[in-house]
Formats: sequence, C-alpha cells, structure tokens
Amino acid sequence: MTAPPLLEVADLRLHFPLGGGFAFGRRGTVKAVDGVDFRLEAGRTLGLVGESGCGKSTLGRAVVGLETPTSGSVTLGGRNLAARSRAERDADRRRMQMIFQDPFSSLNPRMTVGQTLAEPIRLHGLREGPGVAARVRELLGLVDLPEGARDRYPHEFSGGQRQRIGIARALACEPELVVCDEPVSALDVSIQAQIMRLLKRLQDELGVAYLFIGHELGVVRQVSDEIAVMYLGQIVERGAGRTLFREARHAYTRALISAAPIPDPRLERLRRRIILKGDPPSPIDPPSGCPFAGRCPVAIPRCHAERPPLERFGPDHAVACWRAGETPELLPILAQGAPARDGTSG
Amino acid sequence: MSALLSIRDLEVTFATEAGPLPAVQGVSLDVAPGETLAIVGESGSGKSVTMLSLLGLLPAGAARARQVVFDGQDITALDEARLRGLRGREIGIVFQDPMTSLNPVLTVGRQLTEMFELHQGLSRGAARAAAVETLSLVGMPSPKERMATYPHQLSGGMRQRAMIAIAVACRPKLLIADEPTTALDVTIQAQILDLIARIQEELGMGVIMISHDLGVVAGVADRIAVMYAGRIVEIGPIDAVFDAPRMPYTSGLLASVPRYDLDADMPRSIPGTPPDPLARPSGCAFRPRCAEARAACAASPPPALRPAGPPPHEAACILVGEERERT
Ligand SMILES: Nc1ncnc2c1ncn2[C@@H]1O[C@H](COP(=O)(O)OP(=O)(O)OP(=O)(O)O)[C@@H](O)[C@H]1O
Ligand SMILES: Nc1ncnc2c1ncn2[C@@H]1O[C@H](COP(=O)(O)OP(=O)(O)OP(=O)(O)O)[C@@H](O)[C@H]1O
Ligand SMILES: [Mg+2]
Ligand SMILES: [Mg+2]
Repeated sequence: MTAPPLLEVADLRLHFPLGGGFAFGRRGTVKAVDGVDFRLEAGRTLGLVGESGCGKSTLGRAVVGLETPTSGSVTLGGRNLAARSRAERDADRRRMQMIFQDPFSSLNPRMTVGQTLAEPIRLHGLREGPGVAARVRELLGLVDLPEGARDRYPHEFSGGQRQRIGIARALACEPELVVCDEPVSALDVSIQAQIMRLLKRLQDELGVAYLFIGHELGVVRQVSDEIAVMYLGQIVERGAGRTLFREARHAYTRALISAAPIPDPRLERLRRRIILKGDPPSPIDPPSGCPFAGRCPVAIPRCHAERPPLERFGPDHAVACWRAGETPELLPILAQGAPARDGTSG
Repeated sequence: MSALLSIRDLEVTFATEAGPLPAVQGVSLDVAPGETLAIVGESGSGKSVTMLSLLGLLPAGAARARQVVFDGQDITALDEARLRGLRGREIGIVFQDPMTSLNPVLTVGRQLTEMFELHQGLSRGAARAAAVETLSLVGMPSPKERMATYPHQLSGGMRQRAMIAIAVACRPKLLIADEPTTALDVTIQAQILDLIARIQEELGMGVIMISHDLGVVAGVADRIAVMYAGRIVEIGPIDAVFDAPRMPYTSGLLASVPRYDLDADMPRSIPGTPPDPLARPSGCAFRPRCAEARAACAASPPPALRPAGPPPHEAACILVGEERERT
C-alpha cells in the first residue's frame, strides 16, 4: 500500500448560480470549475496556467476551503475535507495557506508586520510567550527581510517586500501546502526572479508543496514539477514541468505557447504564431463538447459533439484533445514546420 | 532618413509635497518613420511620463526639453489647442487600460466618427463610412453592428481594438502604445500585436512601444531603449542590445526573465529595489544594485550614453569606456 498523496482533488466542480442570489434562477450557471482531477505530492509543485477567467483562482480557493465545492472532493493526506468536524477543519486550514497576487490588499494596513506574523502563531497555538517573538524573527529571516521590518507597516514596503511579508505570514502557520495565486504577476521582472528563487528555496528547506497559479509560461515552467493547463473550468492537458511546453499536444496549449513571447529577437522572427480567432467563450453554460472547439483552428465535428476525456499520452503526460496525435503537424509553432494553414499565420 | 520624432534633453520634474520629484532626467531619443522603438524599464522608471510630456498631458511647467521636433516642426512652442490637434490626428495613443481613455457614455461608433468630423472635417455620413472601415481594419467582427455598442459591452480584447481604431483613425504618422497588451491574455495579446504590426506596415507609421515585457519587445521592436530611474541607460538595435548588453542593469534585466522554451536554470535576480525617486544615490542610480560597481560610479554627474558597440548602440556605464581603453 502506498501512502496517499498530500492533496487529491477528484471530479471537483464549482458552479455559481447567476442572477441575484436565486440559486434556481433561470439565468444560467457559471461553471468556474467543471470536473477537475489532480494529485499533488508533499514537497512538490503543480503549476496551473490558463487564460483569465478559466477558473484558476476558484480552484485554488476551493482547495484551501475558501469556496464550498458544488460536487467532488478535496482530500488532504487521505482525509476528505468535507467529511471533517469543525475542529478538524480549523486544523486543516492551518495546513493549507494561500498567497495572493496583490499582497497589499490581503495585509491589514493597521497592523505592523510583527503583529501580522504573530497573529496566526498565537491563533493556532504554535508557540507561546517569548517563543512567538523568536518565531517572528525567524520568519523574517526566512524571507530575507531585515529584523527592523517587524515594527513597520505594510505601506512602508515595496511590492516585492510586501510579497515577502505575505509569504512569511503563510509560513507562520507551518503549512504543508501553499496555494500561490499569481504571486509574482504584479512585480517587475528583476523582483519577480527574487521571489521565485525565494519560493524555491523555502520549498527545499521546509518541504512545503505549492499549487502555483500563473499565466506567464516562463514563471510557471521554472517553479513547477508538473504543469496543468486549464481552459473553461477544465484541465485540458497535464505534463512534466520540464517537457510540457516542448511536447504539448492540446490545440489550446499549442496556441498558448505560440502566443507567449520569447525574449530573444532572433527566435521571435522565426516563430509562427497560431492566431486564434475570437474571444474566449463564457463559462456561463459552456459548450458541451471540447471547451476549446469554438476557437480551435483544427476542430472537427466530433470536437463540438463530444467532450474529450483527459487521457494518458505517454509517461507523465495527459491530454484531452481528439486530435492529440496530429497537432504537432497541424499546428506547427516554430518556422521549420509545415507551411501555414487556415487559422494560422506566420 | 530624417527622424519623425526627435527629443533632446527632456527633463520632467513634478512638484510634490515631499519636494521636487525628478521623473525624467535628460532623455534624448529619435524615431524614424515606419520604425518601432521599444522603451523598457522597471515600474516608475519614467517610461509613461516621457511620452505624456510629448503629448502635453502633464501638469503645466513639469516638462522641459531643449528640443522636441515632430515631423519637421518644433512642438515645444505649441499651445494646448495645437497640441490637441496633433494628438488625435498626427499622433495616435493607446494605453494599457482602454476604459480610462474610451468615453464610457458614448458608443464606439460615435467616438470614431467624432475623430473624423473633428480632425478631417468629414460630413456625418462620410465620417460614419470611415468609422466602419476603421473598425474592420482593426478586425472588429461585424463592424457595422459594433458601431452602436458602448465600451463596457465589449471584451477586453475588443475594447483594445476599439481604442486602436480610434488611435489610428486619422492615419497618424506616429503611434504611441503604452503597455497596450499588459492587461490581456497572451492569445489576445498576439492578436493585438499582430494588428499593430499590420497597420504599421499599411500606414508606414512610426511606433513607440512601451512595455515591461522583454518577450513582447523582442518580437516587435527595431530598436530598444532601456530606462532606469528616469534616464535612458542603454539604447540600440534590438539584436545588438539582446546579444551584447553593455549596461549591467540591461544584462541583469535580460537574465531575470524566466524562459519556458529552454532548459535554463532559475533566472538570476537583481538584488535590491529601484531607488526612491526622491532620494536617488549620487552618480549612477543603479550603483547600489550593481555587482560591478566601484568607487568611480558614485561620481556626479552620472555617466552619459557612450558608444557601446557598432553604432547606434550606446550605454551609460563607466565600464564601457574602460573596456574600450583597454583594447
Ligand atoms: N463568486 C462568484 N460568483 C459568480 N461567478 C464567479 C465567482 N467567482 C468567480 N466567478 C467566475 O468564475 C470564472 C472563473 O473565475 P476565476 O477567478 O477562478 O478565474 P481565473 O482563472 O483565476 O482568472 P484570472 O486569471 O483573471 O485571475 C469567471 O468567469 C468568474 O467570473
Ligand atoms: N502626476 C504626477 N505627479 C507626481 N509624480 C508623478 C506623476 N506622474 C508620475 N509620477 C512619478 O514619476 C515617476 C515615473 O513615472 P512613470 O509613470 O513614467 O513610470 P513608468 O516607467 O511608466 O512605470 P510603470 O511601468 O509602472 O507604468 C514615478 O516615480 C511616478 O511616481
Ligand atoms: Mg485568478
Ligand atoms: Mg507607465
């Protein structure tokens, strides 16, 4: 028998009823998360990428218990969170923390950094008496903030420093899992790299697992052991962090990669962009077939009729695309591929 | 070819409660017709302010320049009315957030026809026809029907198209795009960058693309200017600057971009943070973060741009001169 993974999410759905709070109103449903499965082992990182509105944050919030699933389950260390008692749920909360894109809005402006960090330590009874102050000092050291930061207020810090405070606060709870919701998206690149390195170092030192939400492929690629690509509430492709962006098979992932700029002018001139027509569809009553079919340059009738399952496509790789076997030829990304076809341009 | 736009020694200083804030210090740059110049740099480095000064959109008295010549005309002397005329007609502008520059209570169609009536004196009917034509130029689906929609009824990508339509309506000679795709998903970003490149080719416009995304810049720019703490610290042809950056800030910036296409290690980071504009260090403002800094870097005035490779590649770093002397 193998030990259960740290986190297991099974057929998770989060549907928001639309229209003035009438749960059974006839205005439709936002299917923000619509049947998601994944596992995350202790000390590992699962990256989550996808367009704005595809359900990344909602999924992250559901994992840490900030949203109640419509159906499906979130299992931490083998125990289903929905089946836990109130007291147990408080303990679970401590084990899973979240950090956000804009740390400022999640920090109390009237509390010093020291107070912000001490609060969860006392709340969860992790240290007592002078142990609290010692732990605060230790946390500041962990995230490379000077000790003097303790007595200052959030507005006195730069964006990157605030993100360090947000990380320290999450770590104060001694979590096993941290959901990172776009933690570097609002930062300048030079600062972004500092925070990415910090997160990585903390993982190595503390063994914490990350569910890392991002939209920048380079960032997600660098921090993730495994990457899942979401589209309209579903995971459409999943693979090893090192190889997924090289071996992508889903038409959407390939379009995403081809659109993501590379900071190399010579390479950029050789690339072939897959320019998608139209806007992402709305998650309000999404299509019944493949969620991407409406914008997909190579969709066939089956794609509109039948939702492709997320199926294994080789070791460490799963794809939900009826044409997964042909996409590298159909949708070349670098210029040495086949000539442009309908729906693609140079 | 003579420059379409030529700025010399631009200084922008804001009067703030905490004292004078030098946002831009001695910026000079040229843009040729049909060329794309990218301006990159960290938040607060002065990218937007440089462009706003050009358009007369800053508080009175904040901007001063030895010379700003646009299309053969010195525009430092122009009054507000003349500058406004130049703005929609000769120079188009696209901002990051279209909602701040689109008028929320006017339909997209009305905002476009206004451009043609105001700047080109077209009749209502002719302006309407021109507006529909412009909407189709920017790839707006069913442009005739879209004339009647309000900005909030459009998706982010469509709004950005509407704003580009307004910016290029009068076939400007110069388009200033300030982070035009920063708020958009990459697939939509690709559509918009594609669109700007297409219109640029069709109209032969010069483009100034402000961006913090070095990937975007690599794909669109002919030349790049790197700003740090209110100054241009490196400028040159895009390939030269990416291949052989000479200012340590530029190399640091390039090395801190994470790559998804390579088996590269974690990006390097630049230690520290950009200086507070109210308390910049003496000499080179990058000095406190620079691994190669030495005592001479603290000497004022900060190093000027100097040749850093085959012209027109220039960098503002004392090391560049030293290496040249050694060889
Ligand atoms: N409380 C809610 N009520 C109704 N709809 C919601 C609610 N929360 C989220 N949604 C909708 O669910 C969908 C998914 O939203 P979510 O914030 O999870 O997306 P995301 O992938 O995090 O996007 P972004 O990249 O912009 O942060 C969106 O269409 C959003 O409008
Ligand atoms: N109206 C103003 N009054 C006072 N200071 C200002 C004003 N506008 C801008 N500044 C300051 O001028 C400096 C340069 O700002 P600018 O907007 O040009 O930065 P930027 O390079 O465009 O940054 P970002 O990438 O964040 O857009 C900043 O320190 C900013 O705070
Ligand atoms: Mg989100
Ligand atoms: Mg700006």
